[in-house]
Amino acid sequence: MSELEQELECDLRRVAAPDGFADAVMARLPSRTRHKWSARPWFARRSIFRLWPAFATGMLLAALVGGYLVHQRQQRELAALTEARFEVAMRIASRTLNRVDEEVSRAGVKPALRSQDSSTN
Amino acid sequence: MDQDDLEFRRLINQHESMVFSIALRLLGDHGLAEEVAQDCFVELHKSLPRLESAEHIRFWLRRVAVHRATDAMRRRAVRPESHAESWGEEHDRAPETGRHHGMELRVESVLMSLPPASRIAIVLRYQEEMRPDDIAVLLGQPVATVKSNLQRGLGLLRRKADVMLKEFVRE
Repeated sequence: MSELEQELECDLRRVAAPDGFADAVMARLPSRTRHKWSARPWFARRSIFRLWPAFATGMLLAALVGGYLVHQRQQRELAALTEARFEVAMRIASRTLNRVDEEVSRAGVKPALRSQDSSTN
Repeated sequence: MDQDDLEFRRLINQHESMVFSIALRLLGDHGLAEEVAQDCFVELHKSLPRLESAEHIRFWLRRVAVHRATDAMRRRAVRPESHAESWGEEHDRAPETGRHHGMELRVESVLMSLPPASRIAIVLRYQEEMRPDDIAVLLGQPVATVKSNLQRGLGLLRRKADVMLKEFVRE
């Protein structure tokens, strides 16, 4: 360290604040908004009254997301049920058609005549 | 006065000298430095819930003191040269804890004639005894910039105060 630096360290020592400095600062503090200073961590220093908006927002978001997921699940179940019903209906319709076709064949009516009969009627 | 007030007052007593000295050496104006230092503590009071340790409080106070003093310099268009002469008289009236002699006052007066960036670096380095890398973190600047400001400030100080430093060393 140079001579100049040593002198600077020596000369630039802290000076005392003016008399009554702490009183002046304390007088400027807004009493209503004074925070509780303690050694506790920041999250423990916050009161429940300050946290309730965050808690309410969290609950609302959770309800919205939950509702959306339940709705999605219901839609998927309904789609699966409808598909199953549709398949059953198609199977029944197919069997019925086959059975009618067999009966018509047994009665000896040709398919062409059958279609003509149906159009004239 | 409740327990919180007492604890905050203890914090003020612990750091007032540091904050006031930084402001005074950057501004060179006793009244303005006191105002800036008070502002720092009022702001500290608002920000206390976010500060997690004593070290964090000290770091925060130093940074805010530098920023507020810099703002005050800009706002009031403080010209260092114009305050260099009056600084000594004001400083004489202020209560002091350290030694007090003409040489010290002249060094501080010369300090006031430095560019703000160099003055800040020198005050933090030699008053607060911070290392350049700590100053860089505090000011949010690269270490190279801080070292450059220090070297520039020291060079200017050396040139401006060469004669009186030699006299002081001889005493």
